[in-house]
Amino acid sequence: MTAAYSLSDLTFSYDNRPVLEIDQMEIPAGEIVALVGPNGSGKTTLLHNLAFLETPQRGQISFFGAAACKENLLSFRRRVGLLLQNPYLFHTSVLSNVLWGLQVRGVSRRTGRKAARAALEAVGLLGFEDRYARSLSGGEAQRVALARSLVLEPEVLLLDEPANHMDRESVQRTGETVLELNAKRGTTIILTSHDIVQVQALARRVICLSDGKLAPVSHDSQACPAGVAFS
Amino acid sequence: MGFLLSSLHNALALLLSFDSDVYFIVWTSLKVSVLATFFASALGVPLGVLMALKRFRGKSAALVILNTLMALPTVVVGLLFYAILSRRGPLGDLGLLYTPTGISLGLFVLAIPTVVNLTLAAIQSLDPRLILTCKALGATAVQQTRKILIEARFAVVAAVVVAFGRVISEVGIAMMLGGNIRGFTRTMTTAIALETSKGEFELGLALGMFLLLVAFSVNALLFLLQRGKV
Repeated sequence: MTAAYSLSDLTFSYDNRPVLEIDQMEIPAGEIVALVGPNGSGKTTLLHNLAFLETPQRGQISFFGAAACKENLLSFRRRVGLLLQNPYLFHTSVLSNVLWGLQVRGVSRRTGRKAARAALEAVGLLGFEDRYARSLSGGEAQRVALARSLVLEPEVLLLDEPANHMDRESVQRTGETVLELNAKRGTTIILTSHDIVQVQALARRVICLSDGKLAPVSHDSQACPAGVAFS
Repeated sequence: MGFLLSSLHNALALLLSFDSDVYFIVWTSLKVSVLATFFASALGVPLGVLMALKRFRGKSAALVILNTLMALPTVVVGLLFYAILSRRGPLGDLGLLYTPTGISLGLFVLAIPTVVNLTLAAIQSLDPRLILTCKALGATAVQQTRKILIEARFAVVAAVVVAFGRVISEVGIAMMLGGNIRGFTRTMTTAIALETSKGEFELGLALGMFLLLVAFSVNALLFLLQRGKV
């Protein structure tokens, strides 16, 4: 199977302090992968590297067989959807928020409206189109941000703590949406989560990070606690 | 107290009589100030955005200079441009001294640091997740900048309004570069200074009231914009 991502000899540092050091890592296309590990283990930094928002100081990230470089950064970014842990919504309506990603790709508001409505329906927010995005609750904002990524039909969807601020029902709905996306379109899903139940329900593979390095998944490990020991 | 009240009454009567001299002064003031603010914004807003978003050598020094220029005394700008625009100056041939265009030029220089600095502050105070979100949604650098400006629109408009307030209320530049010529370069502030020194307190007061009205209108507009009512 083709690898969605292939990482080799990757080092990423903040102010000369390495926060990510990965020798080799491969994520097959079409997989649902969970990134687990304690706070500060580098999960979010890794997701930002996989979304091509950060550039590693050393090493290489290959995306569907092509090495990332300055020239293809934008086109790679446009093939990846990222849901931030605390998403930022623009000071405008919910519909305009969902449409913006399409508009930067040259799709007109009129053409994109149907797709935006479908994305909002997928996250259970149909009818929220004209609401001011900044007035939504944390869980609703999270779902709008998810719809904003879904409408772009990315090949890879990166979810940073998608259950953040969501109630039980929304978490379940998001889980179903993610599974459907993976099954119907073959979208590669990579998520970070502290919610063991969510990880078990969604991920077919678990990658554990500890101090920015890959760590073995173990029932005994503090870094990757019991319940996430997948193959 | 009686003097003040009678002057106020006469000033109001002067304003309501729609005296052509008074309204020409008001028109000249608005014209030179709007022109200067428009060009200062056209140059200052992009410059402020660039300075906020780009890293470059000497950025800290540029910021210190910019902050210093915010406190630029208007008479210093007037003096400098008097030297540049006077017959013996490098731009003397253009004949801009003692013209409304000459005043606008000086006011433009006065407004630039205000627009740049306040735009820069507006962009820097934005949520850092905004740029991350724009990038993650696949925006190009130009699309990101446009979105950043839209998100900071109220603060940027406020920067322009503050600059307008500074230029319409200054007197040093208008006096030195305009020469306070009646029916040509006389502005509200230079007229207030002149008429009051002549003892024509009513006209000075009338123009002062108009100046306050302009300041109030601009700020009311800004308030409504921020409330999303315009």
